[in-house]
Amino acid sequence: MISTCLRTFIVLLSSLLTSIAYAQISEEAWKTFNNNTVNQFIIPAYKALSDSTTSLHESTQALCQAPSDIAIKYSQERFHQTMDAWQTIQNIGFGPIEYSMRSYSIQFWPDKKNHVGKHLAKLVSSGDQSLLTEERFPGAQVSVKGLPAIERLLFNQTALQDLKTDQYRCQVLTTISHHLVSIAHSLHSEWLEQMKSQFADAKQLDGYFEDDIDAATALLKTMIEPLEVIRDLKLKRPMGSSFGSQKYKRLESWRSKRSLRNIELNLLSLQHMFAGQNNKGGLSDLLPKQTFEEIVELYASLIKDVRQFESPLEEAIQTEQGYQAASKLYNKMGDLHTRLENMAANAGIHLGFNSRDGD
Amino acid sequence: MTREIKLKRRTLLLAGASASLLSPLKLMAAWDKDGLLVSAASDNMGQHWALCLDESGREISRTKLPARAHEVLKHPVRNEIAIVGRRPGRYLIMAAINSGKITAQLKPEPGFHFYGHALFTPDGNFLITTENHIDSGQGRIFVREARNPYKVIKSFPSYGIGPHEVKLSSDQDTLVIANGGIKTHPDKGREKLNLDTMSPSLVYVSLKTGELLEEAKLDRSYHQLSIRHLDINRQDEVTVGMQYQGERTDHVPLVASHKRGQALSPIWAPEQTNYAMKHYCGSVRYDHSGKIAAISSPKGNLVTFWDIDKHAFITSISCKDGCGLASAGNQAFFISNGRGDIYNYQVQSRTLKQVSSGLGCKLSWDNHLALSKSV
Repeated sequence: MISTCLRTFIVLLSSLLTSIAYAQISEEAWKTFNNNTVNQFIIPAYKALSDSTTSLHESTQALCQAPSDIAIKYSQERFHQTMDAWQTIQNIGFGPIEYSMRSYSIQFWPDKKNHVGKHLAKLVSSGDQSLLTEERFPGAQVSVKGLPAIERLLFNQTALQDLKTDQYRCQVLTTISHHLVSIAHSLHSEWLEQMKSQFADAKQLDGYFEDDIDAATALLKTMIEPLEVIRDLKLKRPMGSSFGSQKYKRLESWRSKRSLRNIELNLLSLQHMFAGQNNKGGLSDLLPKQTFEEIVELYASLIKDVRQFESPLEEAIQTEQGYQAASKLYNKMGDLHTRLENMAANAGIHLGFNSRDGD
Repeated sequence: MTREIKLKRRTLLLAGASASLLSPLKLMAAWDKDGLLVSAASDNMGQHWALCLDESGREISRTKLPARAHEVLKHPVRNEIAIVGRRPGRYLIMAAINSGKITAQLKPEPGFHFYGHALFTPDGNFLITTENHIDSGQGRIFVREARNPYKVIKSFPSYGIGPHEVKLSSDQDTLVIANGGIKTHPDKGREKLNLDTMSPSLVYVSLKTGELLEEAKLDRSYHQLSIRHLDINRQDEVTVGMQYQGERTDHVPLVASHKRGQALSPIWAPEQTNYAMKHYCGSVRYDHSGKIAAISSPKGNLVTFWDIDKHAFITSISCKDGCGLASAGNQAFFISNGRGDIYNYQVQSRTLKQVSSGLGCKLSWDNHLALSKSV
């Protein structure tokens, strides 16, 4: 055992000499990063989600009281605003979002088997008022409780007509939007009242984390792992194996034609967590300057590529040129993901072992 | 949230209380021939090890490995362990428990690789491994004499693709094999090559004749549920833990039980727990009684417990990166995790106690843990 530790120490020493790992980052530095991330990014982002769902709900109520072109357009805008807020905070996969399947409730996706369509149609055709009460609706199928269901109700070609002629359909819409308000409100208040203090004192005895490094690990996982998910689910899957096998209906939010916007917002929020605002904050004080700047550059280049698409991704991937641009995006995301994984390892953060296994 | 925090408090209190015992300079334990815990591990310098610990978590020995391992198991008679290379495994190492010294190093036959799991016959005479025929992608079972030079005495098909864990029924002739169904090729790393057509199975094969005795599959709609890990109790009831290759939103069972002559029957966790398992089971173990099974879901930081007699979910605990499981008695389990901790969990009293932590050098316990009683 002693000799093993000694051997490990020698290996550690030699790896330091060849400058594989960065200089030791103090627990205090991680703590500052954690608190800044929570206070400047996570909590404001959940607040934005809570506020936008409230506006969405109010807009659906107004729409149902007096259905009109203007009213539905307004609701659609509020839907976009809510989806923007959700896409900005979608990468946070731990804490209050893990309870009661909230993440699936907000957005049940991907939905290859058309659960949303089937269960929504069943609910709408039931006309059963008792299913929409505050007591019973939370127990409804998880797929009908969130944004994809609202998207179908608002962006369907005959949406306005359908909502006008079917009052129950409109009630379903307002019930879902109301349910979203309650989830988003709980997420925000639980982060504010419970999670914030877990980061402020990560070592507390009844704590969620073991220490500041454990808390930083949770945050770094949410900065790094989603890149793979975005790449594989939001790009690769709809693109298929080669040009000709693409399926635009596999894109996220294709009905509201905002799948590229989702990706852009995801990347912006990951970049924000990494670099802070104006490249101050985030990991800027923790990483070697060159590493930090290289990764900032990779993000900037990736986001620039996303913005260069001239048409919605739903249309772009149907052309050879657009497909190639999407492939380029896919590869660049992979490169950035690898770069970030190496960064975490060199910063002494162990993102997981068995949890990242596939055996 | 509340449940998780309460559990954490207990864990931390215990971790604090035992911290003084965990100094890196503590003396090596002598194996008192009581319980022996074995597991593969990797350290934070990227070195791979197999470790032998006593039941209180004290290190007895460690063996340095050429690459990451998967299952480690004790020879039923000799004071040796077998360490199986992780898929695509190129080695199987035998090592002495007391010294950690390598006593034999086996390679798969040309054209094959190990899948990470192995089994000794209870008399200790034979070593059984699950392997992949690289060119055809078909699974094969190899039987070797369990002594130098570990001569292959026979091999037969696993009757499926991707044979992973293997156990032996109480008749000591019937092998129970989990064919994960996923085709891989070492040239393509760990890439999954047949997700659309995969067809996992649980098969029973005669060790004597290599003949297929029974094959159990889930409904075709569940063909993307890879059957990877299993355990068998004294009544020959098999519990399997599965890994789902389909959509992240799909609500599919992740645990099933089977008895010869009956259908492979899913056992459902409550929907919320089921989703929290993240479509992934890493290890399956019965308790000593064989009535309770534990299933680890490291991607969800969750370990679930199941009443196999009643065919029902019992409870779950959160355990960050927890995967390795071993029986610690009746309704009791050892749980190891990627952070170097080993816990003891009592299902009835719902208490979790830390057994050891980190062992001086930062270690991540790999997927599987095993407890053996004395020789």
